[in-house]
Amino acid sequence: MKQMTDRVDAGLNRLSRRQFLQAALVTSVSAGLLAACSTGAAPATSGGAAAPAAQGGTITVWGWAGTIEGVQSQIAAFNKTYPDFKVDVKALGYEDVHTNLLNSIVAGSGAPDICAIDVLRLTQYIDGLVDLSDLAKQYKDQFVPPTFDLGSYKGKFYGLATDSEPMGVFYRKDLWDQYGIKEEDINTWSDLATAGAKVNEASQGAVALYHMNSNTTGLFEVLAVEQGFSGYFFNTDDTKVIVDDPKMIEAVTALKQLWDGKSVQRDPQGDEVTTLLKNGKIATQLIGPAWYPMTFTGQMPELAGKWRLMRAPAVTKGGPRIGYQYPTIFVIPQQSPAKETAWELARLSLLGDGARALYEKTKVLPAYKPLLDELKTKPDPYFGNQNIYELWQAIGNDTPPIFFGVGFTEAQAILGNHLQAILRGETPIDAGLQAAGAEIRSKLKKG
Amino acid sequence: MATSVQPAQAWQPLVRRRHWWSTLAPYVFIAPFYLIFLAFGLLPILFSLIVSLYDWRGTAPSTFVGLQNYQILFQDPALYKALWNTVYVWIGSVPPIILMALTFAVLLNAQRQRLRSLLRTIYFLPVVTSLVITGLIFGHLFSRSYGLVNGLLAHVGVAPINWLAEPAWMKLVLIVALLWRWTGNDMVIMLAGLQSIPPDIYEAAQVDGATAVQAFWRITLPLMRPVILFDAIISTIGTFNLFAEPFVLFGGPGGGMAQAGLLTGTLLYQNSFVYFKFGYGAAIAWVVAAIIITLSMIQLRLGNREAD
Repeated sequence: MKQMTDRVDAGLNRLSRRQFLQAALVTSVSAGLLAACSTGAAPATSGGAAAPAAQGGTITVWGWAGTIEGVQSQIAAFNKTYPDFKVDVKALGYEDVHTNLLNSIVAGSGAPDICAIDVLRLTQYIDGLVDLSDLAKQYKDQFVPPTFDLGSYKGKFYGLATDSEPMGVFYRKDLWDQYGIKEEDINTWSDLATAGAKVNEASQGAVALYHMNSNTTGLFEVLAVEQGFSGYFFNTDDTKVIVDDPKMIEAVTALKQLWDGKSVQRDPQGDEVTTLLKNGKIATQLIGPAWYPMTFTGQMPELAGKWRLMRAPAVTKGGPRIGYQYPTIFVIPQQSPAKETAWELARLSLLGDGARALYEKTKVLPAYKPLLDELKTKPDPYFGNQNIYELWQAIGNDTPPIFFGVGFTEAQAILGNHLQAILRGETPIDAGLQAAGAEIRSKLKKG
Repeated sequence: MATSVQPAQAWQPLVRRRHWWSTLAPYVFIAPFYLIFLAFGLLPILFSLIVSLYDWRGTAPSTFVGLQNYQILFQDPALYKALWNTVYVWIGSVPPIILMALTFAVLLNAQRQRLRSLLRTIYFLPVVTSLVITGLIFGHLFSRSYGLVNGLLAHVGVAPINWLAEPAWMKLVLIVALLWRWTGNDMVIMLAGLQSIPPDIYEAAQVDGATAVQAFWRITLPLMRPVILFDAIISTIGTFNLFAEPFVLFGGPGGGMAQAGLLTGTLLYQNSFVYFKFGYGAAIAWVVAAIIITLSMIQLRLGNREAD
């Protein structure tokens, strides 16, 4: 998600994604789990037919628009099994959800029973969350890779994904055809940079092949996964910073080549990107997470049939062509007095009909595998009847287990600052990445 | 004699009781403020000092680290970036705001100003305008591709400027936004100060043949000095705690491109409420507080010296 520009990324794109991610997550884990976590809770049975808790109460759910709709769709079904429980779903702002959850965990009271959080912030809360490992493991096969593992950290499982966010590249086929660019010719990022010369010459600078923001790490994250670093900025056991690894120096060299290309809209701000994409002034959306089609269909319906999805280019020819962003997960705080019942509601909301309702409301790529298996047979008219769901699933299948280490957001901000100096030519690539690595190590106390 | 003494003795306890109450009453009346301040002001302030000595991140247990947060902070390039940006914005915005606020207030305070209420409302409108709206308006005004400002500049041959992504221009946009938003607020303060100056003084000056300009320099400005000083100090505090405008304009607390919009207020927020580093955030708060206190004392000293 980061690749576009930082303002678009941090602002419009994130908001759009969240709006899309509406409902739910919770589906899966059915029974048992909470027996280990709650006092006196009856173990749930597999498949979801857990016995109702002995006492009633209220199950409070916090989330933002785009995450809670799945839960809302399952309240009636939930109440058939749990008639004594009332479900109170609260739609808050994205930042409010995260801040309020932290405040309530720190204060020791006030946390909801189920809470949606951005998976990249999971490690900020894990000491206050229920380990759902035993309850969730039986549902692993029902989630598309790599969504199930996203909610894990150091051997414990904390939350189920509401959606999946593999990444590709979106391009305007009509414009690419007009300027003589063929998808099959774009295998590496370098190929894309080179192709920009054609567009620049033919359009006399009126059209940019793609746009980039210098201080965002979105493309860096795609390249990190392609280079084998599925912890983005950290190694797989979250002990070391990898941003200045030789492989990442190689990757950022490719990034710099892209930035220095002849047909780049550099550092667009605010809604400038959307307007330029809509007006045909930019022909390619390099940062293309699975939620992005909602931006297209919502803001550029007139461009139906013109966009296509392709895999992200590789750093080197023949290398992996993958990328992954950050879905939402549902977690259960330890404070919840009804952990087992909360788990049941979460499970209902994220599996089966809950997942379907969430998809119908948001159209965001589901994490629930049976649903994606159904969708992948359906061509998408907006993308010229291209079967984008099949491609999303293929990219997801090729993606290694992703994880988000401690201090992810801070590392992201620090790296963004140094990346900006590198791309703008103020710092050499290796020195800039080493400076970024040193600052991240110092502030996060990692190796 | 005895009969004349007895009534006085009888009244003595009552007098003593009244004396006791009259001594205590003022404290009782002002006690609610101090109790509330103690609970919601002083204790949190002291607690934040203690927190600043801990490494406390998110929901993980906190660890006592002594002055380590301060040591790391003083080596943090982000602190110096934020301080430089804040001082830049402070110098760029506070003096012009005070100057414009005083000018508008003097004009509005004129005896024959018929539209005083209407103009006062208009000047004050930006203060009550939603910050989200402000962010949208300035975002559109200063958009590189479709902004009104670049559109006007294009007529005089100026190439499009990326106002919200080039560090020097970003700070200028922020300053313009602050001028637009806060001048009306400060004008109201100035107007209140002007209206407290007795008109007799101006009448006497007029009788003595003073012109309007002389009256401004010899009467208005000296008598307004305490108000201007007050305004300068609260504006300084406001700038070092500034959060909403840079947050809205630059898409979050990070300060946007090259951290050009990172101020001390947003640095504090970013560390405390995005990274959840409460100890570090508290250390930033105390360093910023020390800077604000120092600057305020300097301003007070300068103001008092001029008054003397």
